[in-house]
Amino acid sequence: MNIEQTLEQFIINELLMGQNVDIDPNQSLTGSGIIDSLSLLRLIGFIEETFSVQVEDTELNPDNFETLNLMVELIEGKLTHK
Amino acid sequence: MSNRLLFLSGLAILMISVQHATAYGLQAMFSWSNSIQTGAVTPDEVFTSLPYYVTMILRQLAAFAVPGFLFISGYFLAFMARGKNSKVTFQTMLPRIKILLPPFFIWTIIRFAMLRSIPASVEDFFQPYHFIPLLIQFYLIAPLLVPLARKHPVLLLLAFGAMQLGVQYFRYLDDLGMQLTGLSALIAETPRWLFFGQQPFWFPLGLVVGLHTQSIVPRLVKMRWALVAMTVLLAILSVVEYFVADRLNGEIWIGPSFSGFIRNFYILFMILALISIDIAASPVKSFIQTLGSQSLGIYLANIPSIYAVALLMYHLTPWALEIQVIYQVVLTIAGLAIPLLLMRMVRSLNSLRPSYRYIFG
Repeated sequence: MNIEQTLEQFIINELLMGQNVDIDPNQSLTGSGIIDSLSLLRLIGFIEETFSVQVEDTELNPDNFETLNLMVELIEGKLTHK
Repeated sequence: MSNRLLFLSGLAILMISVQHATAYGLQAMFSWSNSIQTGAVTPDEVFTSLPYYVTMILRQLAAFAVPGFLFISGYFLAFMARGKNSKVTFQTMLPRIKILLPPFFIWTIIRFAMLRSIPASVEDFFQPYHFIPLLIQFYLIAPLLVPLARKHPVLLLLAFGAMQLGVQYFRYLDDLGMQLTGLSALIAETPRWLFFGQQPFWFPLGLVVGLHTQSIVPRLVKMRWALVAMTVLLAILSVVEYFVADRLNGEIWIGPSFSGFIRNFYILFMILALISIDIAASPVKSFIQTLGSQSLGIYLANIPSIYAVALLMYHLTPWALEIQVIYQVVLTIAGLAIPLLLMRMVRSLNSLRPSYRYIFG
């Protein structure tokens, strides 16, 4: 599974509790109500644990977490500079 | 920061369960226990007992629970507002509000069904789950709060802090039995579930810390041990304030809901200390963070769970009501474990799984 699929599976299974939805890679996750405060914290914990990367406080913004594509870019950037 | 917020969320939900368990503990002490019903123990004797003191101290210390949740929600709003092209508008907040409404109504109905009663007033309807209506109101005024928190953070916090202390000042006078014109009306107009009521400060605080993380958090980290020391000192002082105010009130008990002034500062330093310190990894930390990640669902199911277990114990193990250390611990654990089991059950049943977010948020 690639990064996008891993994230999408986590969001569908753990945050949306298996709701039958397709997430567009460019869909706004906060705008559609998929991500709230607790799910954002869980998502960051999942990213840090699964990809062994550290998300800095300054990176916590919609420019990195608004869509699946933006999250993939953030993680790929971090893995490249590891 | 996300780890610290998750820990704060976990501690907050633990404290919610403690608060609700202590409420039933007090009920047992003063009306449900055999010893009080048979007259073997008088209420005056309860007031001088160790379980009573411990219960009241726990209630004071657990007071940061709902403020902690409001702080985290304010921090999340800051996250939404921090992007280069981010705009917090009513439209962007609407999905969040829509998600909060179904669980609020479901659990309010469940609670009233269990009590076999109907709401006697608006206050009666909103009070038990007051965090949800509070949060919805803050989301509604978010488009106004965000620019203020960006440009005038100190002013915003001073205004909301003054609002909070002002309302509490009048409640303080009322608690101490002062008779002032308009005091009862003012208290009736500032219930806990209205954003300008008793705790308007914590959501804007989270918003300001979130928007100015780079300048605030490193400073807090530098003085983290001072924050911890102040938290301990203010915790002690808030407990002392309660018992002194109760004594000043004379024969009449000041009641379990008296908040006092110092408690505000205890809560403030507690939250700031918790977002400044990295607690070493341990099974306890991991457990608390797990609670934190599911805190909304636990919060919703906590009240009916504790009520059901308290009622069962009243009928099946009345002797346990005499031993508060057993009674309150069992209720606290039940208030966490039953919601977690319910959440797991709904998650694992294919027919119920799609309803999970409507039930547990």
